[in-house]
Amino acid sequence: MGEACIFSAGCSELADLVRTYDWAETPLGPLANWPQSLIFAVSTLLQSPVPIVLLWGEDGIMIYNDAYSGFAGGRHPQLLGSKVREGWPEVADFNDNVMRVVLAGGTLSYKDQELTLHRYGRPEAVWMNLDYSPVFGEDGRPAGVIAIVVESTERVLAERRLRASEELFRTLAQGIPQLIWRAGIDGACIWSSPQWHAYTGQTNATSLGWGWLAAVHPDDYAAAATAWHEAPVSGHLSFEHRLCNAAEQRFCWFQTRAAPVRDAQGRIVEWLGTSTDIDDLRQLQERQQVMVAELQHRTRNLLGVVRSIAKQTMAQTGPGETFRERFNDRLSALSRVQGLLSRSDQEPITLRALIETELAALNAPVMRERIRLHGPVVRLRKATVQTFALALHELATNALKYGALTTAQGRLTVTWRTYLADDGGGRLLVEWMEEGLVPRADLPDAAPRGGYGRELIEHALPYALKATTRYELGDTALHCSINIPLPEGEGAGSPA
Amino acid sequence: MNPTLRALSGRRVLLVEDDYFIAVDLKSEFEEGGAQVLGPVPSVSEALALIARTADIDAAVLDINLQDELVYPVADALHARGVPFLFVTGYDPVAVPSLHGAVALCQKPIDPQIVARRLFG
Repeated sequence: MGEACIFSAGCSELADLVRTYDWAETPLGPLANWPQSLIFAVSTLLQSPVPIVLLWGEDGIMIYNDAYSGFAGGRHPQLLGSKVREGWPEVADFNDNVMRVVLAGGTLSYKDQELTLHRYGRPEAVWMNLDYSPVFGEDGRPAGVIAIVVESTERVLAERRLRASEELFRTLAQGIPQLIWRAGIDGACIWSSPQWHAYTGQTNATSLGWGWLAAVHPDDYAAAATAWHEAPVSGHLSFEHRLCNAAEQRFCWFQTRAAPVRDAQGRIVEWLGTSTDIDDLRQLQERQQVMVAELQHRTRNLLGVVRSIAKQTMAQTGPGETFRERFNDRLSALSRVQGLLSRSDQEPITLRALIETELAALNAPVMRERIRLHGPVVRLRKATVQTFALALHELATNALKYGALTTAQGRLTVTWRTYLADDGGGRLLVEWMEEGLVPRADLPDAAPRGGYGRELIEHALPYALKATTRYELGDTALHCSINIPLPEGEGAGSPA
Repeated sequence: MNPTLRALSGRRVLLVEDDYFIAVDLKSEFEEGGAQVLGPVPSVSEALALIARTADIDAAVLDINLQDELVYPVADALHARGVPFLFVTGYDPVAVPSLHGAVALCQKPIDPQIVARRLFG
C-alpha cells in the first residue's frame, strides 16, 4: 500500500494538504519515511467526519482533518505541521499537560471544557468536549496523541440562556400575586406554584391531578367543569370560583384564566393558568349594586313625596305666589335631608343635627340667645329621617313666621331624652316649646297657626314613625311633644 | 272624569304604603276616582288586622318594601281570599324576585290610571 494512495487527491482538502506538505522540514521527516503507525493514524483521522487532530512526537506536530480545520478557524492552514504548544500559544499550558499525560500512556477527557482561544485574532470563550488518547508507535510505546475536539459552545450558551429564561419564569411565577399552575388538556394539575401552596395549604403533590379541586368551593365544581369542557373548543379558559384560604379558613372569590400551550401541529398539549384573588373587587361590586338599588328606591320614593307635597301645598294655598314660596321652602327642606342621608354612612344623622339644620336654613342661629336645644346624642334611622325632617321644618317655619321667633320676648326650647318604656322598648321623647308668643288676636292677618305643620305632627309622624304626638297651641305658648319608639339596640341612655 | 279612573268608582281598595306623603297622595287619588280607600296602613301587622276585620275588599295596592319588612305576608292573606292586588316598588323591577300572585308590578311614582286599568280594566 503506497502513501500516495492513502492521501489520494480529491479525498479531502486536508488529504491534499498533508500529501503536498513539505514534511522534510519537520521532525516527522519526509512522508516516504513515516512509520506505518503514523500513516495509519493519519489516514484514519482524515476520513473521519468528527474533528480530530493528531499530535505526533514530543512536540505534538499537528495533523488534522477537514472537520478540525473548521474548528481551527483563522489558524488553518498555518496550523498544519506546527507544534501544538506554538500553534495554540494561548492554551500552551493546557496542551503541555495533555502531551505529558498521554505520551506517558494516559488518557484525558473533558466535558464542556471552557478555554479562551484566539482563532480570529481576538480572545473568545469556547466550550469543548475533549478526548485524548495515545497512538502507539512501532516500538509499542506512545508516539503521539489523538485528540477528538467537539466544540459545544453553542449548546452551552443555549443551555445557559434556557436556564436564565427558566430562572426568569420561576422568579415571575413565584413573585407575582397570582397563583400559577400547569394542567393537562383535561384540567388535571401537573404543577402548582408556591403561591398556590401557601394560599390553599396544599402541597405540590396534593394539588396534582384532581387534588386542586379540594381547595375549590363545592358549589363551584359545576362552573369549573363547564369551563374545562368548553376550553379545548374555544382555546381559552376563564371562570370565577371560590378558593379556600387555609390560613383564614374561609372561601374567597378568584378568577381563573389559562392559555393553551400547543405543539408544532397546533394541538393543545397543556394549559398554563393563573388564579387571581378578586374577592375585594366582588365585595365592592356587590356593595355598589346595593347602593345603586337603594339610590333608585330613594329617588323614586322622593318623586312620590314631591308630588304629594305639591298637591297638598296647592290645596292649602291655591295657585299663586304663596304656593311658589311654600312649595320651594318644602323642596329645600327635602333637599337638605337628602344631603344628610347621602352622607349618613360616614356621618350618622343625629336628632340635634336635624334640628340645627332646619334652624340654620331659616337663619335662626342669629337668634341663638332665644333658642335652647338640649338632649343626648340620638341617632335617627334613615327610614324615619325624611318624615321627621319635614315635620321639624314646618315647626321651625311656623316659629319664625308666627311663633316664638317673631318677637324679642319669644323663646324656643327643644329638649329630648330617651328612656325605657314599660314594655321594655326604648323611646325618644322630644318636646318643642315656644313661649312668649304674640297673642293670636294681635296678629295682623290672623294667620292659621299650625296648618300643615300641625298635620304632619298629628298624622304623618304617627303614621310613618309610630309616634304618639301632642300639639297644644295656647294663647301665648305652643307645646308640641313627639314620642317615638326607638329600634332595638338604640335604646335609652346615650350620653349627652 | 277620566273613563279609566271611573273603573275605581265604588271599589273598596286597600292601600299599604309606609311613606305618609305617598300614602296620603294615593288615598286622595283613589278617592277622587270614587273608590273607598281602606287604610292606608304603613305596616304588615296593621294591614293584616285591617284585612281580618274587613269583609269586602275589591283590590289592594301594596308597596313591597315597608320600613323594616316586606309586604309578602299581606300578599299571601289577600291571595288566600282571592283579592286581586298589585305591587308597587321603588326598586328596579328586576330586583323583585317574583310576582307572588300579584296581577302586576308598578314602579313608583305610580299612576292611578294605570293602577285602575291593571286592577279593574
